[in-house]
Amino acid sequence: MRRSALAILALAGCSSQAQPTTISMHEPTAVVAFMGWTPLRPRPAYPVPQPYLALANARSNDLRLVDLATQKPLMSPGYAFPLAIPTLARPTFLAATSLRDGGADLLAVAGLGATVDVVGTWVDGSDPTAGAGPRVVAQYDLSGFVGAGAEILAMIATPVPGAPAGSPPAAPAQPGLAWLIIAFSGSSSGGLDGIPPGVGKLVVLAFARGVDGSVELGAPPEAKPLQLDPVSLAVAPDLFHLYVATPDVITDFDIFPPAAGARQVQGVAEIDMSAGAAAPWPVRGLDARSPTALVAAASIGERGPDDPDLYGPPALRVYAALDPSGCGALQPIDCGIAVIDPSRGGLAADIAPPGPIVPAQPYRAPIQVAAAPLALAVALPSASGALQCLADNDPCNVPVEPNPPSPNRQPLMRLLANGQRWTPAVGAAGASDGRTYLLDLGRSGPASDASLLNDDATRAAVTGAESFTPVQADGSAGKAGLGLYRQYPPQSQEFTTDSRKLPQAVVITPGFTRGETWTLVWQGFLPGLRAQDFVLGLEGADLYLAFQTEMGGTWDVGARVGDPALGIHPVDLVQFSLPDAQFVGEVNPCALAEGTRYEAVIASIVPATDPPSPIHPGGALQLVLPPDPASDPFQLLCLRDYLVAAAPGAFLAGTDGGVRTSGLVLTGSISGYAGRPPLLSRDDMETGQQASKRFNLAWQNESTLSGEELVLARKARRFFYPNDSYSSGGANYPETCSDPLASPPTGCNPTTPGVAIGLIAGPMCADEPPGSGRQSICPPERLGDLQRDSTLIITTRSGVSPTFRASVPSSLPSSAIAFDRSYFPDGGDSGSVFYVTYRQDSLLVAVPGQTPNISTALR
Amino acid sequence: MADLSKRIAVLALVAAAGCRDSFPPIPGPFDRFYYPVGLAVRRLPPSPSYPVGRTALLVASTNFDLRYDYHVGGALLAVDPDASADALAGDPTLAVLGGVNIGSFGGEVDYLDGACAPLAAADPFVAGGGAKVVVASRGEQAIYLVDMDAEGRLTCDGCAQAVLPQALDPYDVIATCSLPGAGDVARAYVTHLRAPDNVGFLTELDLVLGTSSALYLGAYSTSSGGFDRATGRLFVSAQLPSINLVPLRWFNAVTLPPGGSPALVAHNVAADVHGALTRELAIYRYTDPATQAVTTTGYVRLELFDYDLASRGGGFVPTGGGLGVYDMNPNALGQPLMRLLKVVPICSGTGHVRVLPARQGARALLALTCDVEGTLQFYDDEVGAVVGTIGLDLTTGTPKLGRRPFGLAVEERAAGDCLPGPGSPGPCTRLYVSAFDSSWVNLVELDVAYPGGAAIVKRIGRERD
Repeated sequence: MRRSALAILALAGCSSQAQPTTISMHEPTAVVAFMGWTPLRPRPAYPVPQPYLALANARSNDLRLVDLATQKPLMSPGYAFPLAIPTLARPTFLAATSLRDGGADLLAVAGLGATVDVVGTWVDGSDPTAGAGPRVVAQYDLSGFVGAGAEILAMIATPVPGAPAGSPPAAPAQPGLAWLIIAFSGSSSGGLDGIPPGVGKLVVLAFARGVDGSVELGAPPEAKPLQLDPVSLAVAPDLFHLYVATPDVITDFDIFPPAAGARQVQGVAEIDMSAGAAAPWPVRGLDARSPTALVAAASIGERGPDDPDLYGPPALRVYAALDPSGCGALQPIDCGIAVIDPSRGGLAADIAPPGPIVPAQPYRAPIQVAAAPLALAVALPSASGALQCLADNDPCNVPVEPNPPSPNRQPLMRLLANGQRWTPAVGAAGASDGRTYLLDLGRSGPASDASLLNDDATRAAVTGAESFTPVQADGSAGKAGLGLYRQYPPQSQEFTTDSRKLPQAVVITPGFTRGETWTLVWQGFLPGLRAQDFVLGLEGADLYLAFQTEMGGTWDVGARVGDPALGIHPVDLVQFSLPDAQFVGEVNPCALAEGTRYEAVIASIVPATDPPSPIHPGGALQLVLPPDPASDPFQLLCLRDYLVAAAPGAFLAGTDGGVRTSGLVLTGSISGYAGRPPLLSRDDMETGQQASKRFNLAWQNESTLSGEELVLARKARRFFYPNDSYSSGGANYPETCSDPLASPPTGCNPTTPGVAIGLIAGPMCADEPPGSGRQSICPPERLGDLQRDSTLIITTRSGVSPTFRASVPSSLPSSAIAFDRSYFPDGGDSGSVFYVTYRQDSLLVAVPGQTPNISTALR
Repeated sequence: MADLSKRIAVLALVAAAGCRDSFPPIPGPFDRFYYPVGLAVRRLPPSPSYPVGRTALLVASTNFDLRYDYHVGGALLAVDPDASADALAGDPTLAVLGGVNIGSFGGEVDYLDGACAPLAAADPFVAGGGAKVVVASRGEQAIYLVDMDAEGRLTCDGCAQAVLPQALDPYDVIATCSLPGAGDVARAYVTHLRAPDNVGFLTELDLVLGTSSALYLGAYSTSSGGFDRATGRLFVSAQLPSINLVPLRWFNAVTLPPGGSPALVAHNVAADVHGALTRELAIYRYTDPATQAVTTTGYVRLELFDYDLASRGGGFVPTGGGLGVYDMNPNALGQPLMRLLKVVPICSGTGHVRVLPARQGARALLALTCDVEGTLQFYDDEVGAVVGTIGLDLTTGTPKLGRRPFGLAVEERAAGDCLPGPGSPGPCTRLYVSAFDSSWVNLVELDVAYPGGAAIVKRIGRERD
């Protein structure tokens, strides 16, 4: 009796645990969707293959399968634990594709080294001789073929393209065939593939449908040399173009090796596969101005310059995460996801029209991602359901009738970010901060949770500005400070130091102005050039100052004074002090009054040379020497004479050298040195020429710039395309309007390029005219009242709050794919979703069309 | 009643005396490793018995479970790994060259020998083939400056130095030596994992002058250090930073005057990677074979945590390991650019990161240990991926290297000096990988051209009981 009860209890226990929902992930490194038969849904009950996810577990060396209908794992035959398919060690790459014949897909897995496993997606237990369920049915060791040391870097599977046809050309799939394309690094010794050592390559394994419904290798492997390391692969929707991200320079060729002098670019390699696996695959570089790390491709329509909700006809676009080794504020392009238009051979065209101050860019600004992208995928609208829409401008809200059908009609998908938005495609970038950022690809920007333009609480804005005046040497209040002249609107023009009015006197542009704290200082120190180690020496008869430190018999170079990034100009001031210990007998014969530091005007900048100067390898600042001791309050002549009298090569060293600007200097907390605004004068005010002293940190065509101009232009690049229209004119950003001085401004377009920051700054004197008790712009004779380090601090907000989904707790994403859940009758509420694997054992289901709480993490 | 009191007092005295007699302090053993942490490898100078020298492996045992005496239960051992028996073959006998007892909870080990010219010039013992070995004990709050002679013998005659009372938990040791012609500096710096108010301290031992001083590094206690001998910069990570400010600090340790205050520069790693603690740093200089351009790259070991949870007060939930790859070429101010190039996912847990010997025309190859995951991984920056792993046994699921592999030291071995395996006949690279919990040291050998072929070729030391 007791035994029976125990048995019943045990059975009850078993049945209650029969459907565990945990997938048992162990460092999932890759995810892919495939169609196949499994013991869960075998033939003949299911005459067509069913969709599943395959997840690679690097730590436990196996695959787990997830039933996409229920998002639950397939169970092992014991039905207590999820099914595990043992694979090669540390599976890292997964690839799957349809053979376009209605049968089961090709599913392959690869890890470290050069071996590939193929998993039987057709092994469902219906044929006892084939096995009880999915398992590795074949293993291909390619190490001998590709040569020693060649490592798999990426892998993708694709239907085999037929002959391209149509306009634009697209290739039909050849039924019953598939290619597995494996990207290898170069080998350290040649392999059987005949490709020289060190040359990156693709290896193509051609598979065909077997007579029993299996997928079998149909031909010997084919190797395709690339002369670059292929680190990410994507097949175009036209089925015959393969895109390859690479950190290396891409050299064009039709037949390997490339001809001498062949075109070279950095970006994405486009490979034409239309001639078949046995033929050479020509390579064309798509210029992204930077190396790349990840790539994806899709055919979508994009917004135009005037209306963020009106899309053009679909066209092929390639999305590539730029490799930080070649992008950023010091490089030819900012970091992010580059949008590439293959028809242009490189980056897509700028969305915006040219502006009155800032021209249009020759390329589209990359889509910014808040952290380093580690995984990238593109989702297209679902085939059906509430999250899919076929209408045009302002879709799903405007009746189709009486509006005439639009020629650029295309499916759109819902994206929840700052309300409900509709877009032709959404990207997902799994990033190093553990978040999966959603990208509005139809508008070429990150989706933003905040209103960039229309909500005063979130929009791009100057959030504060305040003027600070240092006390005078005697401790009394300063007599003058910095003020700004307000230009817009015309009826409010004034010169002011009022902290309530100052923000309105700063011109910004949405998409160009970042969230930053800006500091405007009168004769302030240049960023980084303060309290630096330096030496003072003689070169010929000239006194020079170099930022360097003696390190035994060599110099540790500090500031390279000729570098335009530092912003040093002749006529700037060097300021330093010299410890007594530097002088013979520890007595400074050129001592200044207590608390006073030496100062000298920079006569010229001696840049670093190649080979470097032995006395100042980082360059030097030659100093202006006064004509006589009477005009030498800082004893510079005395210092020179001291060095002349000392041994040849003698120098004096200190630790607090710095460079002060001769006028105003603007510094950003992120941008660093941002330029030198001119000083507004009373004469400018009286003659109405205030605009002549307008300072702009503004992007200009970089190809025509060099030196400091180029450095500053790169700091003022566009980083975002406004994804809204103005709800009421463009009063907040008048310079995005064709007539900014109209009231209200007219002809406003938020995509119009403009300044990152613009201002007109001048000296405001207290009690001016004297005895009036009022304040006014300083007359020339009172400019001396404006003390050094008088400061104006401005804070700006970008208005961009990137939309993301995340697994909780989060970790590093490892791969991402898109899947249309409307395939299932009850999947319409999810639409197209992203599955993102996270290394700490979770799978994020990111649903762009629903609120973030709908996105879940499977474990 | 009085008699009873007297009897109790006598009994107590006897008992107390008995306690002392019955429980003498048991020092840490010299015939085995015991919860080893710090590893360093030194090639001893040639001698008549060893015409090409021999290898001495320095191992700091921590007495982590306090099985031995708190004050002397730790040990610094020097063993000859080649003369030691192979524990994989069943014999765990160590060939011990020298040993000294230290306090419990020892940390990392580093040393300077005659290869550091300023020290050799200043110290006849070093010039004669000896070395100065530095190891710290968190149990004793002390730093040991141990003499190691040319035969590998260790002596510590009052070599323990107490640290500044506020500077708690001395742990990592970084030996610094100026390049020839670039100063006369030979110092060791020791990090302090904790301090009141979480301030940062380094203890500086000037091995030339024989002085010791404490350096104040501002907010956040210090974790690990890395020395770039080419520039003289010493980099120091923060043990307990805030989630939005994770400073990687550095200063020039060669131009720093004795007892001077360091001119600190810092980079906020949190601005690059949300949710990361920084640990060890390895630096590599790569010369492009085509352009001869030299690039400097830094590899920062990251312990990742969920930033969003932490920012909501949810504590530091660990989310795996990462390797931050940084562009450290000089900027216009002569400082490292500290531009994040990539975040490479690596195994979970804490451990060491070491640059392996250079390969012709290739970027860095690194080895790193992960105690939680029981793994040794190889990251190849030429490929941009982890290219080799020694982790769990595929059959048994046990970690091949033992429980909690942590310590890591690297040695280049000449042809003929490599054991049968992937590195033979050599030359090869040998890694010493200590397993903290198993208390043994694995010898892993590889040809750096094929890091995926790395294999355990020997094991020394007895498994902890």
